[in-house]
Amino acid sequence: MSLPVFERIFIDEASESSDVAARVRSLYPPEIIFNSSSDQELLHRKGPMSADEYNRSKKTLWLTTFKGQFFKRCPGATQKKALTCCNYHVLNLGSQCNMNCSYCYLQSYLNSHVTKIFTNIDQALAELKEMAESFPAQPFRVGTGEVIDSLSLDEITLYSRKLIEFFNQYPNWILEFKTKSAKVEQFLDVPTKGNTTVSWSINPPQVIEKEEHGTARLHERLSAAEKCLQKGFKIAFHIDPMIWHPEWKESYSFLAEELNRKFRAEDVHIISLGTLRFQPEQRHMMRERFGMNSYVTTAEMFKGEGDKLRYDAALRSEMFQFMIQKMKSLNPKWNIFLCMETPETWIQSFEKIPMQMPELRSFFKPLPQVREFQSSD
Amino acid sequence: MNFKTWKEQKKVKDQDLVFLNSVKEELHQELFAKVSEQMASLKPSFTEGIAFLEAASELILMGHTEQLFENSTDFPAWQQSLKRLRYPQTTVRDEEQKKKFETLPWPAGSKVKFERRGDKSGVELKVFISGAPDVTKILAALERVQQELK
Repeated sequence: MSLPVFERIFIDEASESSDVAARVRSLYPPEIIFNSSSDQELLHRKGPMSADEYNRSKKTLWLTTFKGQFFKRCPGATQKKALTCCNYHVLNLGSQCNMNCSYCYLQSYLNSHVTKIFTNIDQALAELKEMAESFPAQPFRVGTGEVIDSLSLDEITLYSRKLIEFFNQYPNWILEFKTKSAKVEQFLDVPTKGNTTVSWSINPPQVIEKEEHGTARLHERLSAAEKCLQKGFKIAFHIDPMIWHPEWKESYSFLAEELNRKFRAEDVHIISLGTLRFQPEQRHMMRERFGMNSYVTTAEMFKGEGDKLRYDAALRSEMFQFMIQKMKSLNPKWNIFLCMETPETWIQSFEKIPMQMPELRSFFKPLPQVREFQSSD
Repeated sequence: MNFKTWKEQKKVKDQDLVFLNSVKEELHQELFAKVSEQMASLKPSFTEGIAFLEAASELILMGHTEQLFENSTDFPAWQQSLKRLRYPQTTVRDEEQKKKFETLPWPAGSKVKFERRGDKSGVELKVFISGAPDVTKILAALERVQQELK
């Protein structure tokens, strides 16, 4: 496995004694590792980034502590009136990504000029413990891949190991890693109680080649999933974002057939579908960083629900229906749902909303609100 | 009116033209200059002009050249030409849907206008009702429309 490439790594004084700092010092040459005090201006710089600044933010790593609340609801939950949300919760143990997808929403989301890894995971686990002990029987799903890939930097942090062990204490809670990497070896020896799901965002090879730069190839992701399955981890796939291109039907048929060839439907916890969507303001950054030789920047997008740019609603429905029918024709047992979609699209795709689907009801049943934790600021 | 004057009159800031960060090659910049001068001569509003220039810059980066100037003496027609170039599939799909909608048995006397609203296209239907019998007739007609749409 090749190590994530960083040109400079900064370590906060408060993070110096952390396991992550020790591991970084063991993995990277000392000449690229600096004390945070050497460039406070860069580390604390906030605000919109130019394309060059954004590119550089992927190459500069800052080990620091997080001062706010780690555990939050998925952003989809904040648009419940418009979107059908699946009760996903997020635990952010860092921000920015060392991979480079043309459509990545972080391009309009992040305002920090560096990649961050938060070294105070113990505080995150304390927050989780408080919630888990208040609601041990509730099926909370907690993902770590919202503003950072769950596993692409995990060989540096080894956080997966701590999280799996922690979730083993709360079998009704589900931990979900979401990744486009194939980095799983670092936790395969940790026993699981079956409540850790390792999930991959996947796309057909030609979409990966053209739009998901620096990510693992499809066969590498599927092979990593097979390894996880063999060790008792649940696995899931997110065919998201589906990206229109002239041969999309052939490409996504191939993807469905590959999944069906390599896995039994019973072994795959869930397959979620979503189509390309992004915030309008991010289009300039995408155009500047990836040019117009991209299925994403040349896509025909329109403002839709949540003010995001989306494909035409009829095209979205066509893409969903195609993929659902393809998967179900291969095996009716595939468990499929739509991510961040409107009730209208659900009805057009499945002829019902998720609460009317027994196999999906538990995902969408309202859960207790995440309480606000005291900030240590 | 030239582009410089149009920018001054419409109080266009550099940030409004942020899409030009992607137009780096000399050939592309020359083409953009030609488009922007021609556009300014047609005196569009600020909003129309900025949206038009962004679409033009994308089309330039996509490799379009002569096609950019089709219908370039009439701003609404030029806008439509660029829209067709930038959204070719949606244009075709909308035209097909428009044809289909036009053949539907809408209530007699109603006004039907096809339009795109964000990520959806469809019709706006205007009906005049003077009493319960009108409602009955309209609902019956709409049921026939529903059947044909299924």
